Amino acid sequence: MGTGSLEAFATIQLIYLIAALGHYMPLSMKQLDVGIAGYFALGAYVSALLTRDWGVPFELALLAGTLAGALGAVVVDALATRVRLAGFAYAIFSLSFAEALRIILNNVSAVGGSGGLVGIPAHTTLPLVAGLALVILVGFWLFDRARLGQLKTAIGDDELIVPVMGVPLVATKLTIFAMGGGLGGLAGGLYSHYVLFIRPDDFGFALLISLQLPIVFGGLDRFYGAVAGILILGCVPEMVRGLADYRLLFMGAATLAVLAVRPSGLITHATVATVKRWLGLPSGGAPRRAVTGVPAPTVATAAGPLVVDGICVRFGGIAALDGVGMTIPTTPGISAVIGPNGAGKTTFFNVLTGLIRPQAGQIRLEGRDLVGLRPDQVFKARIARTFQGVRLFSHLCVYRNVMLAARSATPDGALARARAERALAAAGLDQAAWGLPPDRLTLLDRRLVEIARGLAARPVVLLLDEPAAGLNSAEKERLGALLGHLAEAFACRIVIVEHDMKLVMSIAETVWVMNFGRVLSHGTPEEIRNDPAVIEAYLGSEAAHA
Amino acid sequence: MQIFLQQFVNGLTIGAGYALVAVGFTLIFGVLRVVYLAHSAVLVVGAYLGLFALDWSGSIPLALALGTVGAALMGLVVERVALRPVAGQNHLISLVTTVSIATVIQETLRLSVQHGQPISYPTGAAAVLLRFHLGGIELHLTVGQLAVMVVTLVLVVALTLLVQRTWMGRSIRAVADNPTIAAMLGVRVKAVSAQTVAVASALAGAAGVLLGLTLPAIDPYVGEHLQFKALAVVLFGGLGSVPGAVLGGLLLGLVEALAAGYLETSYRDLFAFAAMVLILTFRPAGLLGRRPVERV
Amino acid sequence: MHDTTPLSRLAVLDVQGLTCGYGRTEIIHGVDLRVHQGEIVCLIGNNGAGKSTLIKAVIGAIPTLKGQVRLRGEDLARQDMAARIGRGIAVVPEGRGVLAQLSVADNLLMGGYVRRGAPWLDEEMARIYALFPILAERRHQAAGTLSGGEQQMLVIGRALMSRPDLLILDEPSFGLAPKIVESIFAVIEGLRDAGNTVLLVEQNARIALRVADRGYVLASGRTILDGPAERLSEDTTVRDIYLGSG
Repeated sequence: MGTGSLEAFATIQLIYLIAALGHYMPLSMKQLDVGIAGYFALGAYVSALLTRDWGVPFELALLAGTLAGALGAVVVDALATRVRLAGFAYAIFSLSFAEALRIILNNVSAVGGSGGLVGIPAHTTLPLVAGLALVILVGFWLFDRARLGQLKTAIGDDELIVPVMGVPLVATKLTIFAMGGGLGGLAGGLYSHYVLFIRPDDFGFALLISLQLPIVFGGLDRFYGAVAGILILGCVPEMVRGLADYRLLFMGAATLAVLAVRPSGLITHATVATVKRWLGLPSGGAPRRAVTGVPAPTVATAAGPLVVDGICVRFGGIAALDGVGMTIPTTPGISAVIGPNGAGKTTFFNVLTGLIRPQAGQIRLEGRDLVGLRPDQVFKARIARTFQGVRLFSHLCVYRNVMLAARSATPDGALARARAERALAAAGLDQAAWGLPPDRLTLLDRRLVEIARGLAARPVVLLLDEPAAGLNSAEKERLGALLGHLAEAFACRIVIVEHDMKLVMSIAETVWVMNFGRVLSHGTPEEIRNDPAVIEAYLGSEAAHA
Repeated sequence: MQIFLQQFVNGLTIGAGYALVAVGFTLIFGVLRVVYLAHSAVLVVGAYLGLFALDWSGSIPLALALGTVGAALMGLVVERVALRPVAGQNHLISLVTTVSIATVIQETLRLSVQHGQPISYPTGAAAVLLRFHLGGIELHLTVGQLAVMVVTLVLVVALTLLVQRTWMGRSIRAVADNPTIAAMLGVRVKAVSAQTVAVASALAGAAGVLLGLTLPAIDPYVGEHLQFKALAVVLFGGLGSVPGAVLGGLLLGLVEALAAGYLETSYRDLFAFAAMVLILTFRPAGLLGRRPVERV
Repeated sequence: MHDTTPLSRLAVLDVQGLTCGYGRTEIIHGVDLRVHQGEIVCLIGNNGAGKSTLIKAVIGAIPTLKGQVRLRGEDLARQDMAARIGRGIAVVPEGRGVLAQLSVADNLLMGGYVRRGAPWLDEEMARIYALFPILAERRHQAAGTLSGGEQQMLVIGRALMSRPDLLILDEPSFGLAPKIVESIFAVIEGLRDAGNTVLLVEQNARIALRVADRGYVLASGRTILDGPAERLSEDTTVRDIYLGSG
């Protein structure tokens, strides 16, 4: 290989690396936007036309190409989100965008048609591309530590609950899509000003394969995977004499082989953790200084109760909630909602937090109707919750899980940190555990992290869905005692849905009983225990027994 | 009127190909719930096997049989190598493994058969021009085109009977409806998945041979653009709906052929994608699809 | 514990020391349970007691960690789910579980999947239509369009299609109004009277104990009580478990 061709090889591979990192953005968020070849083409054409035909300076044209790529991604993803496409359909939709763009470019004579664009001025140089790639890699490293980067991880882990953490989901996703599309556009601009001649068919399926196989081969858990993938799959065939013609065959076979053994690719979260252990680096995420003297929360309870009235929800022909009404106090304390399986308790929580929009009814807090608000807006109205099972973001450490919600509740970073630390400490979680991934914790501790995540948002009402499920009796006792303490310390009303009657009866001040989507009864634990209607709901009907 | 009818017939021929490929996609998606992009490669395997059979024997039925059976076997290999090891992973992984195996298949063909140069099916029986007279209108149809229509019709009817009337078809529908429940009824879900890929691949193989009979030449990547359009058809016909895929494929073929009289360029290749965006905007579940309910 | 049924009677299902769970989490800790020919045995317990997990291990949907599951004396350890269903276990899954887009008739036919080719399938289907005339009326309708009670009848009918040795019903009262629950349980009693063997898993303890011959009470993955149904329904522990006064 001569020096000239080595330089060309390095430049093209670095451009591919930039595009691959752009493609990595949606994929690492588990969003199947595979339109990267289209965003790349947009950047290539827009910037080339600007410099060649309009005399626009290269830097400006490159910027325009980047924006064109970003815009392309936003249009595709906004449309796909609007039509609520998921999985398979999303992939086909974005793939079709790239294919349709290729067909259009092939037909528009103003941009050269199938003959392509010739005579593009040469501006791209190896030092420029290398410098940009370096800046972008540093940017990715910083991005992983920024809130937006953590939101990307959270969306990839469990998209459905992200809005319940006070995050406007669609806007967040579109921002990340735009960043990915922008990198694609940038790479396209660099490409066209290096090869100086582009045709629509350069941006076909083969380009997608050359970008996508390496990053999935390398692993989507961290961006190092994309780098490793391009290095191995992109560079090896070019460097081994005689392998160039077998480039795609090699890529396909290597990817199949790696994914069969390591479905998450070469470099995974586990790999990174292992390497860090070897090097003696901390796992990162949690504050390293000793957290002491966490300030007590400033108590600010809501002005009045949370008033729920006439809530109706139907799924098809089945009424899940049929006129539910409750007046939930916002004074510190614990209430419970109980009822047999299928009574509508979780659906009720989903309505309260904006995940399900009821067909009728009102939810009023401080004179405002919460029905129709998005989950992130309900969160801002200070209603937080946990989920059945435990739903923590598995690829964020304990501390970052809690910070995610704390930071949504206040723009003040220092305040959010103080709140997160206080919530974790109050929930009894040892600081040594803060930097761990959630799945290293016991079930009870994971529950407590989820509760701390709710408390860190300083809610007036905190909803807990089956907090004691799967715990042994000693753990249940510990949890029960802690909940009472937390409600006082954080001046909030904790409402639990729970099947363990012993726990409910021992900690709740008031109990609502639901059955068939209605409130059957309401009162103190003692009243509930002796209510014939409740006994019937739980033990079964005797009345119909002849 | 003459031109219209002639284009109508041409459109049916084109649409038949889309329909055969799209039906396979929709079956695989319905049962396995994966993003599957190896269909173009399986189709090309069918097309090349058909070519060899035709070169060797000159018999169109033999070419069809070999292409269909060979593609079905190829489908079983794809299922075993690219889908089963990554079952339960997210959609992206199956997308990448199927693209990978498709690349391996197509590249192997390119590197081993005449350096990937386009090859024509032997001109002979398929190119014979037939003239039909319908009430004063003369229609021209090659034997190849006639074969496309007859074979597609036979295959679609056979598939419908298979899916609706046989135990295999019933188990396929049961798994597509709810794999957990199907398993509780004693259905072996993995076996049904493999059978589904084999059936879909057989259809793609037949489509490959039919394509060879009607196109000037085939090459290892001849299935790729067809695959894109068929995927668009699957979406706008209704994901998982067999009638939707057939109807969508035929409609697309007709629209493309009728528009060819008015558009000179290859703009007609855009119809599939334009139709997809339009239909999905107004009917997210597609023409004949049902929207799955998503719950928290 | 107490088992008043003579051991000479054939045990259709015999579970001994069964321990199972998900991954490393153990949910069922050494449960013994026996169902004899022609009886209804109910398995009751609060939500989260492990009833569904136990059933999943019996049919082979999750692996058994310790203990044995025998069907008519045959150890099922090496049989996968399809094989166990083929050996004569039929399940009515929790939350009904019709194949929603398939017709009523196809749902019933799929119940006979493990007996495909048996000459008596049509006859069995006619019998089920006679038992549930509403299903005959709706035979061409998609199963998902039926009401909750009709769906429950359909899945019971579907389970009968294979003429199973053991019928397992998982929470047949789930989400149904009391009147419909009554009629479903009348059907279940009728099944026993026709000679079927039933394992009934229910949260609704009273109605389950009313139709059952014997019962087991499951709490936190262990059977804490078993015996004849009349005795269990008088036992105050049952009430205490459910209402948390214990």
